[in-house]
Amino acid sequence: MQSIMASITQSIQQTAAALLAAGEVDLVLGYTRGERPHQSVPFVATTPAAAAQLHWDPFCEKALAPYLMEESYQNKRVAVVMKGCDARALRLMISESRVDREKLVVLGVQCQGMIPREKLEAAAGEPLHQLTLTWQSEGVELTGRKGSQTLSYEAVLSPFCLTCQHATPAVTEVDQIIAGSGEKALVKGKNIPPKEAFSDIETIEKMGAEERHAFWMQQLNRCIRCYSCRNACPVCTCRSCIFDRENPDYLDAAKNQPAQHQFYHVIRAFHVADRCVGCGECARVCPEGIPLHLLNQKLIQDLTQHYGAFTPGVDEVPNPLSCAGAHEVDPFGKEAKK
Amino acid sequence: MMMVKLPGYEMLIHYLQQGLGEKQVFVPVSEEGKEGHVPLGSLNKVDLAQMTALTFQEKPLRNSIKSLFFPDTETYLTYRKEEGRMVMETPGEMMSQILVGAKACDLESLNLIDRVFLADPVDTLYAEKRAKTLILAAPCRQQGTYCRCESFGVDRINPAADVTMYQETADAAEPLYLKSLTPAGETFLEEMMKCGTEGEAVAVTEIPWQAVPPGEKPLSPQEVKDQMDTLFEHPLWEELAMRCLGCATCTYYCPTCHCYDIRDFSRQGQEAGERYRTWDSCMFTSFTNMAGGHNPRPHRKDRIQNRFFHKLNYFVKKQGPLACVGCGRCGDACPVGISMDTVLNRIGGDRHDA
Amino acid sequence: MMNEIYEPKIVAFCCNWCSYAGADLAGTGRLKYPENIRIIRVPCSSRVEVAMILRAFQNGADGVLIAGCHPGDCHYDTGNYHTRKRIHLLTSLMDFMGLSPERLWLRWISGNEADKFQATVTAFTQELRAMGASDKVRDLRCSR
Repeated sequence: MQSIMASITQSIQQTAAALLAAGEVDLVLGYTRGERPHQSVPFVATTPAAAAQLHWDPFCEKALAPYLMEESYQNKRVAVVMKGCDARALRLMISESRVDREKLVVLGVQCQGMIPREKLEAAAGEPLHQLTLTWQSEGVELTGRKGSQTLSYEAVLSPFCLTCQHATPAVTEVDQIIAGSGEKALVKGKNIPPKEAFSDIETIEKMGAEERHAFWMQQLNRCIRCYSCRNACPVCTCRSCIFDRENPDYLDAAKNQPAQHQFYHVIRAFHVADRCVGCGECARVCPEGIPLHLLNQKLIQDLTQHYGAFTPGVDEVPNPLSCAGAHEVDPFGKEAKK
Repeated sequence: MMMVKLPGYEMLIHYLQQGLGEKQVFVPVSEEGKEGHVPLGSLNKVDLAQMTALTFQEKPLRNSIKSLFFPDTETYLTYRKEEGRMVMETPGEMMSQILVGAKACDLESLNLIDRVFLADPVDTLYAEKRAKTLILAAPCRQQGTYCRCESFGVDRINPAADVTMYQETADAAEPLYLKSLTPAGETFLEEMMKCGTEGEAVAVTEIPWQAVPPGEKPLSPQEVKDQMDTLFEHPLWEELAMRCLGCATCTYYCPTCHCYDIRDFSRQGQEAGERYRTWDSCMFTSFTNMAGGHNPRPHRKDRIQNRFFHKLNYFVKKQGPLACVGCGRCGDACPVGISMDTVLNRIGGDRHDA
Repeated sequence: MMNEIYEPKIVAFCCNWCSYAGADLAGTGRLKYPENIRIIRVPCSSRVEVAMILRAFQNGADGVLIAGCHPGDCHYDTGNYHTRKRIHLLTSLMDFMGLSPERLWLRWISGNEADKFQATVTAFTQELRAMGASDKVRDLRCSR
């Protein structure tokens, strides 16, 4: 596996350097190594020399699509490294006229799945800075002070990636696919159904109403309103957000009022209900570890169950909540059958 | 100064539990990804092993202690109309509190906030909490992996608390040593010796505990400030702005960030409401939005630049020290890995490269 | 105090073309319904967004009723289909979060169904009385 990571990295670097040298783009948005061990962070290369710092590994979690709407990226020709989930978000952004596809060069990466750092640390039983990783075909080999062990990819990959059906962006969405050579994927064609990967949903559904309420109270009361879940979400693309309005009386930041947290989290989940691409950024960036993705996964499950499967960013728009018709279920007729 | 040996951490918790009616006690707890100080009385079960590990680990808790002195939502006054007159009430006196398991960097961060909140005009809510809190701190034997306390001149071995806690190994069953550093701390230890711990707690003259001496030379606030003055136009700020998400994680976890917003809450048709403050963040667009719509820091670049300039330049000019204690929380919590190091490594050139 | 009947507050969003007319007809026909209801006229039931519902609960409403034209009768053709889908999902999400979805009703009431309007409000009031007050979605700084 070492070869595929290294070859994708090399390929990204070469492509980026060539694009920058030819003057075809003003900047390349990708990933580089972070300061912490086994961390990759977003990176902007503006010169062919800087392209050598671009990097690819299973820690390049951050969704890059939201950056394209930021002020700093406007009126620039941008090349962007994209995973499957990111490319789906980009397609939604294009269909909503949020970005100008003409000014973009999309480099689609054959994504092998992402590994959450905390999950790796927990599985390894050792701090990350003590670990050296080797990508083997059967799993990741961890060498630390306690010796060496090999963990299967299923054990360390993000649950979002285990359920992902679109790891590599569609050829039609990108300008170039960066596939790399060597082993094809960390999880070889094995897709775990969402119900299994997000088994917490079923656990919560089985609770009584009071218990469910208590569970979510405990989770949501931790919210510090940093808005990182909103800012990191690649499909939260409103130009001006309801939560940035000045002082509407029903929206305030009093953190001792559960109703305020509920309001924020229900609206957040709802606003992206039928557009969620399942990248898992909301849950990853939450500094308090609130399982926000469960709200979105629950909505996706409901939509699929009652209104048929729809894959945002893959299937043609309109999205399920942008269209409605007579043929759909009516749970409210006949005085709301119990 | 007084030194006491207890048979173990349990004895301390046991003693603190006895006094819960008169005092609020905060202890280190980690649950469901949240690490911070929670009221001892709210715990269903006291996990001594975890508490010991968190107290003596070589890094501070994820959530800083500032929220015990400067809560993220705090009511100034409530008001209501009664018989045609407006009646206003301010919050009553708070209960004294005891904070167990702070770190040297936590205490240093309070000293920095003191310079702002305890200077004239005094922030009375903060001052009351400062005065009524007894702090038990634990030193760090060595600098944590992602800590920069030594660079920021924090004496991790001698936290400026009321009482310092020592333990040879972070094992709940091992003896726990307590040393008082202030008159309040001494009174606390004397009281503890008198009631509830007879025969178990003994006065000692020496504490068997050794620390690894600091290995890094502290940064000079003046030098950093001067260096920052030359970097106002540096492209670094735009680079960071292109990576920053514009969320408030760094500022809310930072132990020295202390900005807040004052808001009024009332409902139409109700002649009552409250005035309260909540934490605010300079990373939000609304932070500098003015009446009339002008925003002096309109771009994300301006905001991230301001954050680092406040820590490394403006605070030095106004107060003297750097407004960072090197706890590493910003880097831990930032979703895109921006930390104080990111800036220091760039501005310091070769000298401070990791 | 123990025997006092709890009088719930109901916020009702009524579609201008059907349900509001239905409520009006109930009034002119002198059909009596509980005064626990506060009617807000909206151009279409689909105008009611999630934020409006939560805001009503936050402000102390014990129940929220959304009333629109019968499916197929929408003045704007498909408005109430959108309402149906949205409220269906919201109800499910509220249930998932333990936020008493039984306090949110969506009903189809046409312009001549004054009796149905009366029956709906009466039934909803009775159910809410039985449930009593709830602090689950209320901003605790608001009085009921």
